[in-house]
Amino acid sequence: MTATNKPYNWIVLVVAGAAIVGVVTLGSGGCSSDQDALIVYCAHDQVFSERVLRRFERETGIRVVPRFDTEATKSLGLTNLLIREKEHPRCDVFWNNQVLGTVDLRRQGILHPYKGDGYRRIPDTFKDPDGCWTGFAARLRVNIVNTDVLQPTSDEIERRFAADDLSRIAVARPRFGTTLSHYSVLWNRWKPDGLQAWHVGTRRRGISEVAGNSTVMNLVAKGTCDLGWTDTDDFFVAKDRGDPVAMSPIRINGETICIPNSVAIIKGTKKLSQAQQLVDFLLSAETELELAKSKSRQIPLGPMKDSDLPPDVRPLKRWAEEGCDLSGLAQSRADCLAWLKSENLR
Amino acid sequence: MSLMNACGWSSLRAAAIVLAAAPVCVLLARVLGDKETRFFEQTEFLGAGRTYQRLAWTLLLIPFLTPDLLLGYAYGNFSPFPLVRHPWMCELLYGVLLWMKLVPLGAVVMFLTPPAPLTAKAIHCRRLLFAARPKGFSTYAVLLGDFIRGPARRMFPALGLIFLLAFQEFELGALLGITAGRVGSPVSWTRTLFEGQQGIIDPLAPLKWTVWPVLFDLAVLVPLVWLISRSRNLTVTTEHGRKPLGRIGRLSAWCYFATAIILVSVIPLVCVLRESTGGYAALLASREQLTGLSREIFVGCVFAGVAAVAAYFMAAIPLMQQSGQLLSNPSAGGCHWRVASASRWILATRQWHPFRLLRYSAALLLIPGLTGSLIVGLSILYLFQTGWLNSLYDTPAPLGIALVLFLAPRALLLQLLFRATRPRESGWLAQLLSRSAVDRQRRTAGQLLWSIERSRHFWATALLAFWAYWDLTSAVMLHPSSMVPASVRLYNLMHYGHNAVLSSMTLLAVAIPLLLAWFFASLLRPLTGRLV
Repeated sequence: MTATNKPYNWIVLVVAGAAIVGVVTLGSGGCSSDQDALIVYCAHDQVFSERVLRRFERETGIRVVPRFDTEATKSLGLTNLLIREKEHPRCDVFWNNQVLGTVDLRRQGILHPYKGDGYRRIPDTFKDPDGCWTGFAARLRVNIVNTDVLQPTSDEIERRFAADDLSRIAVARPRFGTTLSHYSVLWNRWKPDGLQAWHVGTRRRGISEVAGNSTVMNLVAKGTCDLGWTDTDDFFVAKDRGDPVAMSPIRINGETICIPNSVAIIKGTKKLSQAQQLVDFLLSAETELELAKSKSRQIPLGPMKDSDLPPDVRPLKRWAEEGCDLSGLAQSRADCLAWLKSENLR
Repeated sequence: MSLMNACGWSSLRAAAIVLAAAPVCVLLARVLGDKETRFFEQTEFLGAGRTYQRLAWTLLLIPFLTPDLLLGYAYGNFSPFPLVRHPWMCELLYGVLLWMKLVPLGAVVMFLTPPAPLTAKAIHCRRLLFAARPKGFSTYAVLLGDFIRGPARRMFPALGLIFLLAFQEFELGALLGITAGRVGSPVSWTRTLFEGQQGIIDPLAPLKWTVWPVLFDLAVLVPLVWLISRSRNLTVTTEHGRKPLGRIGRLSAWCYFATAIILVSVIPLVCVLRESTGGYAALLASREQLTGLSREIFVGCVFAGVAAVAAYFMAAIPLMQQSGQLLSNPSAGGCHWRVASASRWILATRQWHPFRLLRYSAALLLIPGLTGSLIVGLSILYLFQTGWLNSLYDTPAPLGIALVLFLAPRALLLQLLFRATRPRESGWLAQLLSRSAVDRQRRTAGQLLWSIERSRHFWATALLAFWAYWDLTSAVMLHPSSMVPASVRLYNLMHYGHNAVLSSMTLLAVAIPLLLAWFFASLLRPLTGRLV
């Protein structure tokens, strides 16, 4: 190294050193505060859940570090990550955006039971008898239609699904998210042969299978497709934008598909008391009401006066009461998922 | 679609892009080396050639440097065409965008690749010699050999790199939603593997799945490394006696520049800019979102900055001379292709020396990044999720290491580029001036050295940081829970479709790192003047 290079190399070393110190500080700062913070794996939409978690921080002084799921692999990514981390758990509380994945975690012995105030206010249909998980703030699976070309009547929708060309109907990929829950219900009610025949038939007739429910909503709202399956929270995004959309609940044998969020404490957490506080906070009437009043219009599952609810949510609550019981469908989900994986890899 | 089929599709797409890119790269490489290149022949003013050469470089690099997330966001979901119902149109758009983005890289590499040992004249003479002979197997074998030692030698490194990058692409394909027909199965092995690895529990399974993509990578990498190892020198290509580029050639080059910039940079930027109106006010009103975004941009910049500096230094190690000289060597007579010579030398010697070991290790660490960010990320994830490294899981270490490994081959390319194009005489004169006893002269020398040499290293590191900042696959898989880079949140939100707030967030995430780079550059420029 020549003498003239020394000052320059010195500058480079200073810059590199500063950067390394920056990341170490950030890392150690993050890590040290992480030791006190509650690690929450959250499959619920970040835009809505982050606000609730920040309110929890403000009200309790407990710091929360959320880890969100990739939208394209909604909920399945975090569920599997929790199973992978079973021996060395990092997560304290799992806020899933549906139930069946959480039921699977319970079967794997990953969840810690807790029956607090929040647990007690939720009806039995939406919670684990042993308190390993509890449902709250639900969504419904709905048909979303573009009202410029279609009305959301069951006859019209059935006629569209029976047509030879389904290219103007959109559904999300069933391996992930609430569409997987939807498929699990169909697997259980129609039996595997029925669902498989229907699935293959709709693909043969060119149904548009897209990345997620939000994409389905966007395609229908913009008129690229006429009809699709999505969740109520996605439907309301389009409605609030003023897009020409309407919805009707999807019914199977007369029952709707009501998919609650679920919350569970991870076994082995070192912050049990803080985790319990968060669980009670999420299951409280205030949080359910906040989520009902948010743009996602989640349906409260606990007791609540109709007058307190936003007008959009009141009919949803009645439909939610007609929802099928999802808690016994864990095996259907596992079988259906295995079949979907094999189908996808053909 | 199986992973093997997806690999097949991805490689077919990459091959098509390579075929389409080859003639354009040849043309643009000549434009880069041609100081007389200008669109209007009558334009004459002092330094016009240099100005136009600079313009050509700028125009070439703009599409290449447009972030894939911005591009995918702009063209995904709400493009004027219903892409979801026309998978072939989506595939075509994806292919064209990828082609336009990768052509600049091919052109730059071709511009830097040494001229082939067999010149065009020599090949022509051989053909004339064979013209009278009857065509047999031996004739074709000789002509093939000529082709390999001639034009192919010059083109293969550039086209090989284009193939690798096209084959390994993830973000754009994921946001455009390329699928096999309407059945939703991705026709990209990166997306299939990325989503597949999140859908399974066994941490070793995704690594087993990488066998097929790695085989495809190796099919290109092995001949590429073999060819490079047989190239002795890396020089800026200026073939003497070559005719200047004709009018049609110049016109075609400028057509490419215009189309690529409009399609890859202007349209996405204008779309997102237009949508972002109103989003800034909403963003400013939401303190949580603004704080979150600022923190994520900061985290992304720190990860990217540290990884870029580390990768740049690591890539310099195999190029170092034994004396330990690292950054500049004004007395060097030429710029040797040191990776090749170092690897030959390492294989030849049996005497192990710490410095040689360091060079050998650094050269080995340059290899994993050639398989792409996804495979590097999966391997690091496996290492840190299981075994003795588990204590470092959920810390900045896994993502930092993955980014350094991902950047290392790119850093080597940049090191070689700058060594090949360094203005040695002026740099040496500025260094002499920096030894002056007069303070003012030393300061001036420092500023000269900055503009001649040191700014190049800064911008090279900034470019690496830019790549790391926008790398999504490693960030999604490896980021610690408390340190989420901006790209991860943006990618997740982009699946919901377009809205004003997201558009404004995207533009801020693009603009802030650029402003930071400019700020550091303006900070370092006077600093070098004072410290010399």
